[in-house]
Amino acid sequence: MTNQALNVRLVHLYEQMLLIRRMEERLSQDKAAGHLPGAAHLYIGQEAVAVGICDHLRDTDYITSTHRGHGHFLARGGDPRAMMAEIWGKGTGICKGMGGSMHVADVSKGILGANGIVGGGFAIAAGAAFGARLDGKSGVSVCFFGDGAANQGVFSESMNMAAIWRLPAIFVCENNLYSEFTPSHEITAGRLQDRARAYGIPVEVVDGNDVGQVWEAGARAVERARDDGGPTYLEAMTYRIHGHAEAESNLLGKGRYREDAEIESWRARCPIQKLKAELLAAGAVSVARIEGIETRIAALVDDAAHFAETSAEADAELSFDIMFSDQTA
Amino acid sequence: MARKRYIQAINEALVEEMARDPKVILFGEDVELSLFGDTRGLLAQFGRDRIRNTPICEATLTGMAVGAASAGYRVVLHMMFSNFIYTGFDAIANQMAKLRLMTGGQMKLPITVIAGYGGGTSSAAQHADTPYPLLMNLGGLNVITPSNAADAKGLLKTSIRGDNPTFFLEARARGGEMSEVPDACEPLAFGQARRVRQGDHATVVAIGTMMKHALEAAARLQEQGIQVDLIDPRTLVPLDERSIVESVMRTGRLVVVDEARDRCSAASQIAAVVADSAFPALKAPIKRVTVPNVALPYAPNAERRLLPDADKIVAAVMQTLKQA
Amino acid sequence: MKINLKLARAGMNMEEAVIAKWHRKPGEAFKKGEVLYEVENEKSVEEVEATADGVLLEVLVPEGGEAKVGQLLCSVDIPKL
Repeated sequence: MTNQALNVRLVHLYEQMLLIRRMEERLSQDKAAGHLPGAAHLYIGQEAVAVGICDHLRDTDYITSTHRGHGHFLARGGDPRAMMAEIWGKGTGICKGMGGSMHVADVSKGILGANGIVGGGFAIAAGAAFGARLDGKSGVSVCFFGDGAANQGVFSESMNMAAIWRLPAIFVCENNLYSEFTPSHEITAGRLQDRARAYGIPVEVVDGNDVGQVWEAGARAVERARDDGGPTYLEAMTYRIHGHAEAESNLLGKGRYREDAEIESWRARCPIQKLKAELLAAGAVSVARIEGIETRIAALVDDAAHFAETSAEADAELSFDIMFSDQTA
Repeated sequence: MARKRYIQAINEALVEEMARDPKVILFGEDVELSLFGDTRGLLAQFGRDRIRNTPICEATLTGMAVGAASAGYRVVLHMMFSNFIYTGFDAIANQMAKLRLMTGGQMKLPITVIAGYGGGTSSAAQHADTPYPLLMNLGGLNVITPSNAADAKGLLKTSIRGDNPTFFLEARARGGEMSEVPDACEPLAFGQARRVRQGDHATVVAIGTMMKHALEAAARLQEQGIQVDLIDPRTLVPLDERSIVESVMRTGRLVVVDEARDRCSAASQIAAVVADSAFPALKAPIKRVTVPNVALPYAPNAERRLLPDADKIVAAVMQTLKQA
Repeated sequence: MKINLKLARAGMNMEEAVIAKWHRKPGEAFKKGEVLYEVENEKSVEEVEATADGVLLEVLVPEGGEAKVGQLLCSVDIPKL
């Protein structure tokens, strides 16, 4: 994999990250205004991970995601309007308003869904990888998960499976230092990467806020999987600027679990600002083009938000019809 | 027609369905050698891509069934003893039973989970449970409880060909039981109960493993001139409520025999439905013959004390007849 | 642009809350980041900050009043979102 292959993608990666960022910022507004009926866990700060990995995936590859799944959904080419509408609980949502923020999915694009169970994606990703391997078409399955999920038993079990059955599975740990409201180091023995090594799985640890590093590591892992070389464990060090969930300060009362200094230090390491500065400094892109991207994304987000706001409510009778396939509940 | 063992009929269904559809795959612990006999010979016939032993990791196996089904395969997951359903329960309750709804109908999950349930063999509490009440209550799962070989074969075919997560619960203690199985065994529709005996004095609904005891009880009652309408629901989700209600409308008395513990048993659900729909016809309170709300003991006499049997069923029917 | 603000569900268990205090009266302006109102839940009183500059137009739930999640609390004029 050469720098050249990465360089031609950088502007696109920038645009993808910006899309996620602006969508998440809009959702933050919507949450504060009381428009979102359920919880929202925003991906702000982690954009480089979803974008850097998903750029290597085909529509026929699979991903599983987390409760913080909007970024992966968009990075895979999921429809922003349908995602917004879903989070607003509307019938035009990608899941017809039946799943909400934590379960956005587009099965036609191999997005097997955000998942509200921490660690819920490990085994599903392993199973999809098994299916991909049986298909024999060099498909891969990516499991996005957090450092918190790595303490679930299924994490170890899934890696064991992936190793013994040589599954085309890529375990991408978005290590954002927190398991909900607890610093992960307080509740995690040893290093997560060593857990993967214990199963003989190749390991790479990268700066998750450097989309180039993520992209290159992702390229190696995807190539290994496609060549029937088995699983890879990738750990991307990153941070979620908005915390675990929107409006969490209300949930926690006066309790604080993060220091402002820490939040600001990570804000200064924004993956989008970093890439923008690098592209401009290298002369790879003009200020005008950057502004053009910003404008285009702003319009796209406005359109998606307007679509969500003006769409009709979900169909309250739908549950009975769709619970089963060809069978009423 | 031929006489076959219950477990043999299940094995035949698996062979036939795997031969019919190359997308059917089966995995689970020890399925290659087949602990229960249901998966015997499958490895030799279909190879390790389609039949595969797994590590002991139920919590991951249930999730992998979801993943493989999402990737277009028709998955048969063998969970061995039904208590292990608890070990793998998260992906059952939170993924299998929920994903189709959560994705707005995008996901089809053609999964059949096979597990052997029931006690009476001194297997002790962790290997003797009847877990279907938990499964019935989750939402998007079908629950199948065949009592005999022919039903087992037909219902398993339907489970595998269907596109919904389905729990096929083998009557563990009936594996060796012989009965007639049609040569060309068609898939049996869910939600269609079978009337095993005809009668007007009382309705007896017997689930899965309990049919054997109910048949014995019915024969003894017949000697006393009491004819029961004996119904095998065959599937608990979907449940053939109509057949049961129709029967009670005629007889006015209902006894439900269920190896689950009494609290929130399938019997409770059936009793509630009948009380709702056939109330004017009832001549006596509905009786449930179930297992007490304790873990099952190991010692044979202690276990026997708790499990339904023909005596307890006869007594229950007699109780409904006392109240004229 | 006139926008209606509803009571947001803070935490997954919340069904209703008491509006403990309004920090502005109708007609008064606010800046992004300033506290607009305070919400009392079963555990504590929380300050809700404005997410943009604007003017408070109308208060629909007075101080001490209870509101359900999703209920309209007030309307504001936000020139630019």
